[in-house]
Amino acid sequence: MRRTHQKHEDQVIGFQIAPMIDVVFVIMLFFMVLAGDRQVETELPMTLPSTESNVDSDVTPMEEQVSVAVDGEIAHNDEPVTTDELKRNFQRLSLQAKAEGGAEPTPIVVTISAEPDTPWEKVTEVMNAMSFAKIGNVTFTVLEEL
Amino acid sequence: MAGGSSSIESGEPEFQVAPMIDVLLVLLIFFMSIITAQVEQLDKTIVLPVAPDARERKVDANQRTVNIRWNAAEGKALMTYLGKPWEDRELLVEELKKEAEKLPHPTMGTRLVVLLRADRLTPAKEVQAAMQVIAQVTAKVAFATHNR
Repeated sequence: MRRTHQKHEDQVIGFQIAPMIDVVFVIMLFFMVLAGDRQVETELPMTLPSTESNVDSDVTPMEEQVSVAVDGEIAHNDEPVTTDELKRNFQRLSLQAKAEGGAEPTPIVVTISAEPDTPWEKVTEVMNAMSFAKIGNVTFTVLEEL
Repeated sequence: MAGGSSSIESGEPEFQVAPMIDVLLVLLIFFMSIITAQVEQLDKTIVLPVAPDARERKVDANQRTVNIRWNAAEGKALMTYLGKPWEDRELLVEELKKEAEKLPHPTMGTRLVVLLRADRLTPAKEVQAAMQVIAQVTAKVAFATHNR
């Protein structure tokens, strides 16, 4: 009777920590690889024109006009540009504003005029270029429907 | 498993730690995956535009989310806030103003930032209508995008 009980105790499997760590490491590795390629939600922070502005009213801002057509064609100050060219233009303006303003750069205000049916993603390309050049003041207008 | 022989002998089921941990981990992953959408009232049916140079979103207590869902078949946009559709824009302005009053700022009027999550195919006129609503409440707006 004692021998049977001893045999049964030998068959009992305890909590195994080594395979547990193995599995956890494999899962961790899987999620680490997955994390590098994941789609994350980002944001383009902008300031709209406001009556209660914190911007010094004595400073005249640099005003830039960008129009976006339904097919996504972009024009910067009536000059057709690609998104890469727009990025470069904005970056140049940003550097110029810093050089002119010194410690307090001259504010740049971008007015985006889009056709009524222009998809939002096409307008976002302009804002992406603004974000690239760290320009945060935007005015958004939609052209009148004919 | 320790002391398993006694419970086998008595015929009573034993508390198993390993399957318990398994189940808890699955529950944890499930809640982790849904919590952001639940708390921030994000509309997961919206496909956001891609902006590679946008900054990563951080948790902001001053931020409130307005979604614009675009139904291409009907050619209709629907604004949602706090999980509810807002057909009447004036009512949405009033609702946002209440939030703005809760977050005062000495010079800007309010600390409220509105996160606008518009579907990538939404026509510009619909987004502008939403921006007119937001502009009546705050000057601070953020446009939601995807990194890729």
